[in-house]
Parts: sequence; C-alpha cells; structure tokens
Amino acid sequence: MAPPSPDRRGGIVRRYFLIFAALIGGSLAAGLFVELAFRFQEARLTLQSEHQRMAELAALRIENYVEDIAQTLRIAAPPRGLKDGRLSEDYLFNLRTLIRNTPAIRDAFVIGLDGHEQFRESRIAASVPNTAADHSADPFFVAARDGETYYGPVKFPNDSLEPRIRIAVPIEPFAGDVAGVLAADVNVRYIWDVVQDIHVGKSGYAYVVSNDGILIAHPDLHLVLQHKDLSDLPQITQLRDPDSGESGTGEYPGLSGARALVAYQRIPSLGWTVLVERPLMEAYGPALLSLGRIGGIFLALCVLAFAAAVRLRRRVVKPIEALRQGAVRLESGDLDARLSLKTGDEFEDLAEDFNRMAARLQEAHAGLEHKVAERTQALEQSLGEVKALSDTMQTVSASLDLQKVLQTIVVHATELSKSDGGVIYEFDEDAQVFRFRAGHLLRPEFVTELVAAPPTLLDSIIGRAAVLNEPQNIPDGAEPTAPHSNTPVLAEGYRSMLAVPMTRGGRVLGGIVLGRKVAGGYSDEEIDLLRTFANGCTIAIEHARLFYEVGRKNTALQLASQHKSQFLANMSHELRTPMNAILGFTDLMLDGIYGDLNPRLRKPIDQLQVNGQHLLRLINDVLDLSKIEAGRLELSLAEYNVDEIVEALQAAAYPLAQAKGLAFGVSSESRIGNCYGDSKRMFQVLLNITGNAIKFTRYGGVNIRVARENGDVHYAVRDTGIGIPTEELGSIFEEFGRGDPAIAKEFAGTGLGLTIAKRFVTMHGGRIWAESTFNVGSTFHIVVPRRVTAASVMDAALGAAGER
Amino acid sequence: MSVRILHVEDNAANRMIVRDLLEFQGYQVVEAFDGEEALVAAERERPDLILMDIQLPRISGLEATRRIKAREDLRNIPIVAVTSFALSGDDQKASAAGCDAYIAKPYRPRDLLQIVQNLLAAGSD
Repeated sequence: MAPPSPDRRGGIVRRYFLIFAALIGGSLAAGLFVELAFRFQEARLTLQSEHQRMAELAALRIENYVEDIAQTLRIAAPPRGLKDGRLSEDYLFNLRTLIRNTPAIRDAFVIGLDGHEQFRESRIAASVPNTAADHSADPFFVAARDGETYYGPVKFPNDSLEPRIRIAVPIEPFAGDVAGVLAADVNVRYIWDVVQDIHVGKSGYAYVVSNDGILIAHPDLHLVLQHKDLSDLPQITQLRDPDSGESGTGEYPGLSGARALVAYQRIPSLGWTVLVERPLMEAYGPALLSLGRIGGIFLALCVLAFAAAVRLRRRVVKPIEALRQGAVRLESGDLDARLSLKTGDEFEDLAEDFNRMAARLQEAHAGLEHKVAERTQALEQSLGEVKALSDTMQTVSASLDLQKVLQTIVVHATELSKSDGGVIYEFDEDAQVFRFRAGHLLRPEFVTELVAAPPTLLDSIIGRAAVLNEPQNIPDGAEPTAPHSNTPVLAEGYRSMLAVPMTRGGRVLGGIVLGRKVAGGYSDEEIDLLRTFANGCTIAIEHARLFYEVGRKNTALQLASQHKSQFLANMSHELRTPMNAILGFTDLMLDGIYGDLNPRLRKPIDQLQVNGQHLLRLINDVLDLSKIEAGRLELSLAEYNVDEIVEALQAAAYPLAQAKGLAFGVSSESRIGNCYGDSKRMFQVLLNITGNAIKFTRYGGVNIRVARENGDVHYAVRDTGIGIPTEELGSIFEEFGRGDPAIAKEFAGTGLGLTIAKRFVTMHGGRIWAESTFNVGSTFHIVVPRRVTAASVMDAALGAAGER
Repeated sequence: MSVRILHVEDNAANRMIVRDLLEFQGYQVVEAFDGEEALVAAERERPDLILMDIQLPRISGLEATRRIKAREDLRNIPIVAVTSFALSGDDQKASAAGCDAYIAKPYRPRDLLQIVQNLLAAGSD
C-alpha cells in the first residue's frame, strides 16, 4: 500500500474540525448578529422616542411660555378697560403692571376698533408718545378684532439683536363683543432660556426654527444673533412637506455638520418647530458600546473556543498521526515500531494495544521465518529425493540393462540416506539365497565376502525383512538383542542397519540393505524413501525379466515362422514332385508315347488326369492361401492396362464358354486406361470369377461389364446360372464356403477360389460381393481403386488380420 | 550324332517321364541324381542341354548351375531350371543363377518339350 499523500494527512480530523467550527461559529455569529441587530434597533427606537418626547416637551414648554404671555395679555385687558375708545386708568395701571411683571413684553399698545393706536406702554421708553398710527389693515389687528389670538412672525428689529414677535389679543368686555385690540411685542429671547435648559445627554441640545427657517433659539446665542437661515437643512426642508406631520424623528446632518439624531415637534399656533438634536455617535454610543461589549465577549469566546479546538485537535490528531505512522512503519516491515503516547486516555490504551500487536506480529514473524527456514530445508531435501527418484525412474524406464538400473538405485539410496554402505540383493529362488547384485561404498574384500556367503531367508536381516515383508530397522547391530547380528557386517563397522524387501505378488524378488557406522537407526522418512527405491528395483527386475521373456518368445516365434515357411516350401516340393509324376505319366500315356492306348484304359486314364489336375489346383490354392495368411504373399505393384487384362480374360474365357455352348460378351463403357496394382493377381481374380460363372451356368451366357467409377474400376460378371440361395450369399467368400455338397460334386472346384479372390481384392483396397437369384443367375461385383496406395494395402492387411 | 540332354532329378518317377518323353523324341538322355553328380556328368558328358531340378540333395540345382556357368568350357550349355516351389521370385533366382529357361512342376510334358526344342533351336542357329 502506498503511504498516504502528505496533503491527505490528518484530512479527516481537519475536515471535521473545520465543519464543526464553521457550523458552531457560523450559527453563533448569525444568532449574535441577529440579536445585536434587534437590540440595536430597539435601542435606536427607544432613543428616538425619548428624543421625540424631549422635542415634544420643549415644544410644549415654548408654546406654554408664549401662550402664558398671550393669556397674561388677555387678563390684562379687562372688559371695561376700554370705554368709548378711552382707556381707563385702571386699565393702564394694569397694563403697566403687566409689562413690569412680564420681562418678555417689551412694548404693549392698545388699538381701538378704528385701527388707531390709542395707548402704548414701553419697557424701554418711559413715556411713549401716542403715535395714533393706523393699524386697521395690519393682520394682527384684523385677527384680534375678529376675536382670535394672533401670534406674529419672528422679527429682528434693527434696534435689537433679539428676535421679537407680536402677539395680539382682542379686548372683549363681553364675549364676542370686541372693544379693541391689545398687542404686545414680545422678546423671544426668553425662550432661549427654555431652550438652554433642555439638555439631551452630554452634547445634545434643542433649537427652534421659525416658520421661514430662521434659527430663533439655540443654546449658542451667537448662532441666533446671526439670524442663521437653516431652511436648506434637510430636516427643515422636510418640515415644509405637508405630509411630514407635526412631529418626527430621523437622522440628519446636524448643525455642526456631523450626523445627528434629530427629533422635531411643530408648534402649530406659532408656526415654529422645536428640534432636538444629538450627535449620532453620542446618541447611539451607549447602545453601540453595549453591543460592542457583547460582540467583544463573543469574539473572545470564539477565540477561546478556537484555541480550545486547536488544542483538542492537536490532542486528537497527534496521537492519531503517531498511530498512523506506527502502522506505516509496521507495514513497511519495521516490526520494531513501538508507540509512546502518554496521553493518559484511550489513545494511550490504543498505543499500548498497538505495541502489543506489533510485538505479537514480531513474534509471529520470527516464528514464520523459522518455519520458512525449516520448510525450505525440508523442501530442499525433498527436492533432492525427488531428483534422485526421478533419476532412478528414468534409468529404470530408459534402460533395459538391469545391472545399470540396480547400480543407479543403490548409489542414490545410499547417498540420499547418508549411509556408509548399501547393497541390492536379488533372490535366487532355486538356491533360496540372496545374490549380491549391486553395492555402493563397499570395500571389494567385503563384496567378495558377501558374494561368497550369500544371506539366506533365515539367517539375515534381509531374509527376515523378506519373510515378514516389512522393512527391518536395526538401531544398533552390536546390541546382543539385535536379530542376526552377523560378524562380518559388524566387523566392517556397521552399527545401524536398514533392510527393505522387494516382493511382487507374494514372491520375494530381493531387497536393499543400507548400513551406517553409527548406532541410531533410520528415520521413518528414510524408511519410506528406501521403500520407494525398493519398488523401483522391483519394477526394474520385473521389467528386465519380462524383457528377457519377450525376447525369448520373440525368438521362438521367429523360429516358428521360419519353420512354417520352410514347411510350406517343402510341402510344395514334396506334393508337386509326385503330382508331376502322376500327371506326366498320364499325359505321356494319353499322348501315345507308350503306344496306342487300349480303349478300355482310355476312360480311367482320363479320369486320372482330371482328378490329378484337380488335386494340383487344390494344392496350389492351399499354398496360395497359406502364403497370404503367413503374410508372405505380397502384391507386386506396377502400372498396368485394364483393357489389356480384359482382353486376356476374354481370350482365356471365351473357349471355355464356347465349349459349353454359352454366350459370352464383354462390354467396356469406355477405355479404362492405366491402373496401378498387381495385374497378375487381378487377372487371377477375374479369371476365377468368370470361370466360376461359366462353370455354374448350364444355359444362357456370361457377360462382363467394366466401368470407371470415380477413382475405381467396377467389374461386374453376370451369368444366367444356377444362382446362389440368399442364405448362402454371405458365406461364399469363406474357405470351403461353397454351399450344397451335391452342387460341389457336380461343379469341380477347390472351394478356395472365392476366398483367395476376396483376399486379393481386399489387398488392393477394393470390395467384392455377389447378387443372386436362385435358379435365375448371379452377378459378382469387383470394385478396386484405379491406383492402389500403400495405405489402402495396409488397411486391407489389417482388415484381413481382423477377420482372422 | 544325336542331341544329348542331361537331366538332373532326384525323383525316379520324374526321371522316367522325362527319359520316356525325350527318348521318344529321339534325344539321348543322361541322368544325374544330385548337384554334385550333375557337375561330374556335365564335365564328362558335355550335354547339349541340361534340365536342372532346383530342389536337390547335397548341392542345390541353383548352386550347380552357378558352378557350371562359371566354367568357360561349359558356359554355353543351356540350362532349364525345373522348380517345384512356384513361389514368386523363383524364376528370378533361377535366372540370376544363370539358367536360360524356367519351368515349374508340375509341367505338362509337351510344354517341357517345347522349351527344350526352342532352346536347342536357338543354340544351333
């Protein structure tokens, strides 16, 4: 297994760690973020509503202040103060008192219904001349005359830096009965105090803007005195929007330029707007601080958690890595790998388990190596044995020289068993002794001794082994209890002895005896090995004996065959010589060499000749058949012309047919041409068949048809003869198979002609068969290959042999 | 001087047949019973033709033929081999030994006569 690539190292732990960190940190952060967002939003809303309330409060106070003045004015204008366009003394006194007690009122004047000023009391001038100015068209007059309280716009008179407004109230002796108008110019400076009193947080403040956007009250008087026009500020611009309502809160750029939390509240009666402004940073500061604290704590916690996780990871990863490296070392064959993890937890247990496992592996490995060494040694030994056995067997099977085989076996057996000497005995059944056949590592003198005094069944270890048919293992021949401890062997110094018998089917063939010059005997493996060698010897001895037997029989067979051939030759001679005499004399007598023949002798001598000829044919046929069967008759193959054979056949058969008054014809479909085979034998076959046909035909005729069929020549000899009964058709080609003895008597023949014909045809690789209808006629078919091959001849010979 | 024919044959009946046949035809017939006698007779009688049986005691007909044909003075005497083997190759063996003609037993006397007459006619040409 390849070691894991470095980038994969600790992959699992890292992956899980990251996943857990992401999951936990992410969810915490998300929760916190949401929480913070909500909190912030809440804090903001709270702040805003607080702000709003402050603005409302300021607006209320300012409105109250102004309305107080207006109320004061109303109170100061008693119903009967103005009578017939005249101001009573009381009224004036009241008016003066009013002005004195109300520092905000700078001037106060009374206007009659006609619009003319009738009286004016001023805080600044001791006595103000009655201007009697006509105010009848002035809005304040109109409004007050109509019964309303009028609040005029803020003005900055030239003589004063302080803004003023005009307040006018109707003078009503009775409700709805306006007698005149009381107007006062009020110094708005007094609302400054109100505004200055409003503190929002540390640096928050309130200011008031008039209807046309002029700053009329601000803690910083300087700004007010500049008549600062704030109408361009977004928060002021927004006030003009009719939809913006009477009050509101928002974040706008403050007067100082920094963004601020701004709350506004209109004072509808005056057309003023009170704005409470506080820098955003300050407004939200505490909330942000609080949030920051929470975030900080969270961050700290996160860092802590991360550190803990990293530490944990180290704690987990390091032991795992150590275990992994240990495993890798083990895997690469370093069985000394041990782990030292003092973590005091399961990892330490695991490391201890690992160490135990490694130790056991090391032990097992050491055991295995030992076993492998052992097995290798055993294997080498087995290999040596197998090789020795294979050599032996090869010798046994390859060599027919028994001595050589036995010598090979005794050498291998002695050396493989590390013996100091070895002997192979063959049992001599006639003498009932073990004959020394082969030895190894023996002194020649000792061999001479063994040969001179062969062990018997009764007085030797090998004899005992053979009788019991069991290997005899003598650990120490010098022991008094050891069986057959014979002196010559002991004298040679042999102590351990092993004798293994060789038997076959209960017969003792011999045995192998091994000896060592140390006591201790032979192991079971060595005994088994020797048994194998003994089997090899047995086979070799059997082998050799069989071979000898076969050779002997073969010689006898050859001799018999020669005798048979000789016998045939002799028979031929011995039979033909008298036949020659018989037929010769007959011929000479019939030819009249001995004078005219006595007519009475004529018939007997004719018979003598006919029967003599028949006997001769019989002899010839028997000889032919014998020669075929002895394999001594071979085809003499050569090119021949079928047409010539047919012509010769015609020439030979025609006279015979003519003599019997039979029709005879030969039809050859086409010129057959040259063939390859034994023309003499083919002619003999055809003449035999044709002769038979003529012989067995009394009336009618014989016809021969010759045709080429593929690679064959087909001869068909048809006659109108006596025919062959169906049940005999199968046996006519067997020796003396000619059916009816009566017929045989009438038609002279040897009964061997068809048998010989069939043999010759078969030897050519052809077929011969007959078709016949009894008393109608027969047709004999002969089909032979146009070209006889060695193979077809061989097949035919085998086929013929198989029929035997 | 009549034509002299040496007939070598161990069978008395066959000797008689040939003697009867050939003497009837006017030939002079001398006889030998085995191969050794044949050699002696050929030497002594100087026949015009020899009928030699192949299967003979002591020296076979073929051997006798070989010896006769080895002799410069006897080489021209035609020899007819008479065999009773009739095994394939007998004729070749006879021819190899030096025989001029071949006839197998049992022969028809007239066939034998024909061969003898043919050979003598050829020799006298």
